[in-house]
Amino acid sequence: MKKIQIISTALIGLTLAACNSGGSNNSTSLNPPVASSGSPQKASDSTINNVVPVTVDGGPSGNSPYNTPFVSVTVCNVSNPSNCQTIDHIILDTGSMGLRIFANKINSSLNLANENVGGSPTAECTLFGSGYDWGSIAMANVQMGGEIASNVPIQIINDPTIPGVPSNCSNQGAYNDLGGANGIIGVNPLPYDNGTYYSCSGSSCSINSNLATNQQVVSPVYMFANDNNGVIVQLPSVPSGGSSSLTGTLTFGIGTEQNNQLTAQNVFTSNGTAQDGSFTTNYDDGSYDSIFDTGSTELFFDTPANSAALAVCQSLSGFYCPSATTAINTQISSLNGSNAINYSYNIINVENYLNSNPNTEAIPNAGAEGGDNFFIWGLPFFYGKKVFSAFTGANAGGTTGPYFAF
Amino acid sequence: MKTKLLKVSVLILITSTFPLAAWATLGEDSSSIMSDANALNAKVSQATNYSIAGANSSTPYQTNTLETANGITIKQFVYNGKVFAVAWHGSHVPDQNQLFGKYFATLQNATPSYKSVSARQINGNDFISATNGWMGHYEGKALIPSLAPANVSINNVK
Repeated sequence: MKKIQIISTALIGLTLAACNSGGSNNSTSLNPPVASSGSPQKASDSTINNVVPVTVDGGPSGNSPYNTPFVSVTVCNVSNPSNCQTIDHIILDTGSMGLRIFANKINSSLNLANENVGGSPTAECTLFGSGYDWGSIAMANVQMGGEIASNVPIQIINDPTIPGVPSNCSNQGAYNDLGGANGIIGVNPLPYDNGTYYSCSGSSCSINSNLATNQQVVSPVYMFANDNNGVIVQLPSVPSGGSSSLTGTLTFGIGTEQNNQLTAQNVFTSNGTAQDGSFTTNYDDGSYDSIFDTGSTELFFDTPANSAALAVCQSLSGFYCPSATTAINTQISSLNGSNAINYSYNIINVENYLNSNPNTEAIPNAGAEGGDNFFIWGLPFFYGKKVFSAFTGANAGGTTGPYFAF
Repeated sequence: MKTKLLKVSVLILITSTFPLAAWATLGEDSSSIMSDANALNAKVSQATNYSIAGANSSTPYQTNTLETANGITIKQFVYNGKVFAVAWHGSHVPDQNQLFGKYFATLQNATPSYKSVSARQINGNDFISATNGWMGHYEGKALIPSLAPANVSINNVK
């Protein structure tokens, strides 16, 4: 719900982020990364490759929602680490934790071992904003670029070798097919997912609320041997005419290599409160729990009472289609109100954009209804920016996580 | 009960004056003794009367709010003795089979007008729903237009 907060108090200590106040118009050069100071950087001194591509391309079959970012992940058998499979089109999600892959995308020859507790396989009911997924927990080595996480729990969604979804899981909503993706990897500031785990025996699974934290699904990045204190998501601006395949980077570590220094001007923490990376966005007389979320395809925010210009689309249910590009004025701050900035962001007419750019998979500055209780800065926010996500409790570039920064 | 003709007028009753019998599942009688509060391990926190700007004063509706033990806030909207809408948010997701009753199958099976990882919307003939959020931060709502007062849309369900 809208937290009732006097806006003026949130503006104390307000600073303006002149460099970032223009929405998605910043141009960003990629490959090699360039420090925001403008001085070219040498490649990392480390021999470890800590950068992998992120692609917005419509997914495995072209049917994934617009503005869905994907990475490739290599999964290996723990006992036989040379037995590996690289799986493409894994959604990169700063709004969840851990690696989850659909069972039918995994070669049987990979032969991943179940995570057994007391001799029984472990399963999880996983809840996203759009619904539930059900699957077993398996142990795997996870590799991205040159980074390796050894023996980490991952979820195998729709694993046919365990009993089907229990009703106390499916009663929590609709099944989530992840929009046709092969899986999802969460890099939220919270490392462990704190989910609902089950122990399976015979034909049924029952809730096991005693699963140790280190047996829960965890962000593989958090378990990397190096560069494990956070990630940087960097996407280019959507070019004029749109893009059917937009490529940016996911960089591992913050302040651990020359190519991942904390160059952000705005750091929003949830220290001392939620400890989960969420921060506060004030908008239209409301105050909302907030996140920079690559797993959200648009900015989701409440229908404004004070901006009649933000009409919804005629045919695209729920999206905003202002007759002319309309700036929304927000204040973003840490959960405790510190580090507040004024931030203005342009919302475009999504229908007009798609009519003009019918082949694009990336839509800049797209907004949608929703978020009665949340202000979700979805993927359009990331275009033309470098966004940092630091793990809870980690020293990341001299600042302790959890935080998001840009 | 007294209502004010503001867009969101408020009359807060203290919890204890409202019987649990006021809690019902979407689309069903508010007077039917439903066990949502017990089933959801929840306490009733407040009841509020609303009226809609521009609407006839004879068409106010009420909301009742539940707080569950695991941190979910659930609001039920009642008009003409029927629950015409529900909205919820919290760090967990409620039992929507309990909350949505006979409409739960529609929520699960209807073709969404939009879906992604973080959001799902259904824009059916007589069932409109939306869920949003990220892990540990969830919200959802549903509206039955044929049971709702005139001028009440899904945007009022919050």
